[in-house]
Amino acid sequence: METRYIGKNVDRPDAIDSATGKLMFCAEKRFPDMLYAKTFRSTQTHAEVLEIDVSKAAQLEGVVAVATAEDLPGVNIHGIHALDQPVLVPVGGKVRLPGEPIAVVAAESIEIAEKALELIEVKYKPLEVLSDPELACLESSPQVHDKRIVREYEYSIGDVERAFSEADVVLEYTQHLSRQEHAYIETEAGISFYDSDGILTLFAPAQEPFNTRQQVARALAIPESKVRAKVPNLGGSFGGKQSMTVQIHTALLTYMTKRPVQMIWTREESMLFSTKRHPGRFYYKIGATKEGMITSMLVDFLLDAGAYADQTPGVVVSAGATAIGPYFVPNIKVYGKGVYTNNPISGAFRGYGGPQATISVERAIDLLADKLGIDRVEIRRKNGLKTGDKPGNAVMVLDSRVTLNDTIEQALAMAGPKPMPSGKNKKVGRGIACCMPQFDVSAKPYNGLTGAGAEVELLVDGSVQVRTGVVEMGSGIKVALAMIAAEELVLDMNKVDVVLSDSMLTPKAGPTVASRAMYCCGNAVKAAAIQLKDRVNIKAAEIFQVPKDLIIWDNGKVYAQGKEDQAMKLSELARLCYVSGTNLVSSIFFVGTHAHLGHSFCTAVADVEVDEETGEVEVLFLGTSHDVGKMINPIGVKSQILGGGVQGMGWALMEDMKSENGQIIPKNLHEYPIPTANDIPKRTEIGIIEDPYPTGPYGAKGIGEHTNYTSTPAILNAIADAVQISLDKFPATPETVWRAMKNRQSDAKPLATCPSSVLEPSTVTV
Amino acid sequence: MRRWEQYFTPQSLEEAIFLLDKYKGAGKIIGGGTDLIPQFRDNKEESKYLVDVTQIPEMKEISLLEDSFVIGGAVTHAQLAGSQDVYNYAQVLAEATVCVGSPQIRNMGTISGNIVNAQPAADGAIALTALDAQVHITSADGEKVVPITELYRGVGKSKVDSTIEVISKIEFKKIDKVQNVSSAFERLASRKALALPMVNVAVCLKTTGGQFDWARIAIGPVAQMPFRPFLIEDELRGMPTDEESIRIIAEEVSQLVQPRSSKLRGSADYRKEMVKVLVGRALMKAIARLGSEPY
Repeated sequence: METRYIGKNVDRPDAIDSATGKLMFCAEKRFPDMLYAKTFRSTQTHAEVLEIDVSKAAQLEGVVAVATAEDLPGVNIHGIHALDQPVLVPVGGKVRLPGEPIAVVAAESIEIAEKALELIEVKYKPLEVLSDPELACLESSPQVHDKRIVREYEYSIGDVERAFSEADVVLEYTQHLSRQEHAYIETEAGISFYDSDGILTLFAPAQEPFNTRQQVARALAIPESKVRAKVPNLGGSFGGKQSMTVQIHTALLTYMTKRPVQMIWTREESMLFSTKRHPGRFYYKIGATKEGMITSMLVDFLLDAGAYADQTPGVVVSAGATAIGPYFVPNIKVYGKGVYTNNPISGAFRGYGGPQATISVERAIDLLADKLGIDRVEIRRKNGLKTGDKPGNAVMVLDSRVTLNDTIEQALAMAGPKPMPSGKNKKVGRGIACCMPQFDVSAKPYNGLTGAGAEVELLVDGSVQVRTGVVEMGSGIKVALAMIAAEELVLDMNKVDVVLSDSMLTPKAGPTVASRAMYCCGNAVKAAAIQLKDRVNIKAAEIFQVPKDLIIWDNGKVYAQGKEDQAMKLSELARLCYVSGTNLVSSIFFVGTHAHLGHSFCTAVADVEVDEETGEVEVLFLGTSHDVGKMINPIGVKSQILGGGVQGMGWALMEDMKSENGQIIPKNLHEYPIPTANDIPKRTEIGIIEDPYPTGPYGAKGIGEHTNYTSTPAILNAIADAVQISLDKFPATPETVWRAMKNRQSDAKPLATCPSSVLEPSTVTV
Repeated sequence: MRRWEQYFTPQSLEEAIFLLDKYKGAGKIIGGGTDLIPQFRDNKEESKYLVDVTQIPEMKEISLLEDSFVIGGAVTHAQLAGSQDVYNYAQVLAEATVCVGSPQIRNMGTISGNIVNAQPAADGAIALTALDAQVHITSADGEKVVPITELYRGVGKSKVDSTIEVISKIEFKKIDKVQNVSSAFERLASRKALALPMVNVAVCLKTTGGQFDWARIAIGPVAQMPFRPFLIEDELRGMPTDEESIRIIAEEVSQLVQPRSSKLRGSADYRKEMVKVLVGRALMKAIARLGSEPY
């Protein structure tokens, strides 16, 4: 079908300003009479707060307010999936990780606010620290919360034990996952103020304004109707800006002082207290026939939630649902849990537990193939899900064609022949990894996600405004929604504006998470545009004296079929609609019809060269093939895929937010490397399969997170292929690889012991 | 963040020295500010008067004389990395300075700052150590010339007191293949840009008839300052320049160094081993550069 915009490359209107630094972020805004806020943070990892003395800070010249838990009018608690985190730790309360806020200061300048922090005195009673998640469920371990387990996941089908006893080959493998920092460019920053109607207004980055509104209202004990939350330009998030960061603190200080208050976290504060990707451990036991058919899989996984629940309940389920990979396995038992520790808080991070599971299962599949003496691609082709199969979890139904093999073949074709080593002491390896990532489809409430509201308004000058509550996080949703409205209303892009993420202006649409914005809001905007056009066509039919299905919209003009010479300007038609009582705002609340999550398929192939003397790894090639259903904006889809792939490469090779006894070791981006432009693989290829998703807008599926599943395991598999090392721990830094090569003999059989929890899952406590 | 009170941009070396002298220790030289400004930000620096030397014309020049280089104290890493003369006649310095930080840091940061900041891993200073650079230091009392190896007091501590004196220029002999003199730089880091080295090595050497005349080897960060294995350098005179000898030398150097274990930059045993690999590679590379084959 000939389209106007859908499937064509459209640049983001904000691209040039973003690249040249002209785009304004929260930290750059200044309001008249504005105060600057700073946070007094715990230096203790786990301690009872005995005494807080802010009197000296309050007396410092230039300090306007100092707030502690006592000043909070509402409930001193916040959280996403579970309300377990204090806004400010009170006297008698506990700090559960370093950096926890105890007091906030508002002053006439940042320097004064910083000085005031030095005058605050807090007395603690230190408590024993729990830093090893493997020990979290022991009675003898320190207790971080009343419960020890945040969430459990259990799924089973068939009889794994019988299948193991009948299997020709049984493989056991344990993969350890390191902690990853989101490392978004923009640190947490926000401004709050009272508008002229007395509405407490917040500008702050988040992945949903409505969650901010709810949490601020609850903490301040004011109605949600008195709070407006707006997410302005956001400098990266990747899942990391869902929880409350600065919002409740600035709101409280504005509430107390009645003045605008700005808070900007330094990079050090952001790294200290932002959420991270869950570290953890996945144990696999896989049974197979000697021909390579997998008959049984037992998975036991453990995720370190850190000091608060945050997104752990959802991440545990998502990890569990991804643990079997895109394979058909008749006998399955998956048990997993997320546990409290005194470590950094783990939250959502592009893939939501799925990447951890994918790395683990894809490493295990390679080891199984090696053990069987079967080709590593062949074992994936053999066991891959086929259309109509039942996947290894309860949250997905395969309701469209399974395109796993299409992605495998495309990725291999892009890769071409394996490169030759560039010199002596160099070894080249190739790795492959497959996945079936999920995305939210606004179906019956699942994990708290709901439908997606959108409005499309035709203005009397012929321009169109689209309004919806999701957030532009850099994925290009804003331009994609404009493309959809322009497509349906047959308008030029410059006639369409999109307003996002303002709790006062835009309909509630759920958060920008779970790769859902395109599917959910795309459907909502499309339906709203169609509804609007239909409504205007009633008036047009009356004017042109023809049935309404003969009305043609064409680039801002409207006419009856065959009578283009009698066309009317859309602006004139809009005016006539308006004066005759036609509602020019159409509103849709999209709710998906599936009773489950959407799914997609992808395969990555990576070629690496390992320096046998230094352990350095160079990624020579990274190619990923994704079934995206339909590309709305190809340039946006492809840049997502490249970005997600490189982010996954960073985790594979260099990123490790290590902690020791609860204290993080890398304190800033100097100590925590992420890939630079120079580190991007020498050759990258992006392959697209467009197998329209029956219910997606124009057939589109989600993509944002899916880009972050397979590059990590493909690279790890390639390193293992090159130098035959286990990589049960990563990132594969030069030293890690060097050491693994040195210990190759003893490393050949990775140590795997079955954790006791497989046998005796404790009762679910959520 | 602490702030200075006044910021000066003198147009001559005399003017800069006059200002330092006038403020009697309350002033401080600032070059590109890539080290000093973060120190202000972290409240670790409290100078009241900053004397910026980056607008002094003679301090921004790279001069190739008949058999030596004179580098102005305010010359940036980017200038050195981009200079054809430096590439031709002091390749180790070109290779080292292009590894410093990011383009932004190389555009701002100066080579003398790389010395005064006194970090044992500073790429520019490692190269200058192998080049046996002589550092000209000017104060109200006049000028003194000190070998770079004698300017270190400890990690991050320089003998150059930039509240009273300034590195006006740096001088070293040019590296000329025609005279069978060659140089090379090797480095290992966690990523390809904007990363401090886990180990870096600079070498300069001269050969005659397949034997070492002399070699200077500088290694970081394996000691409190850029490290030179003087004894091994002596031992090396007259040894053949073949792979086996180089392997032995690299092994000996590796036995000599005592790198620390760092949670961020690698364990001691790994870094020790990498010293061996990189010293070997740097020597091989420098020798190969003397041959007809481009390396």
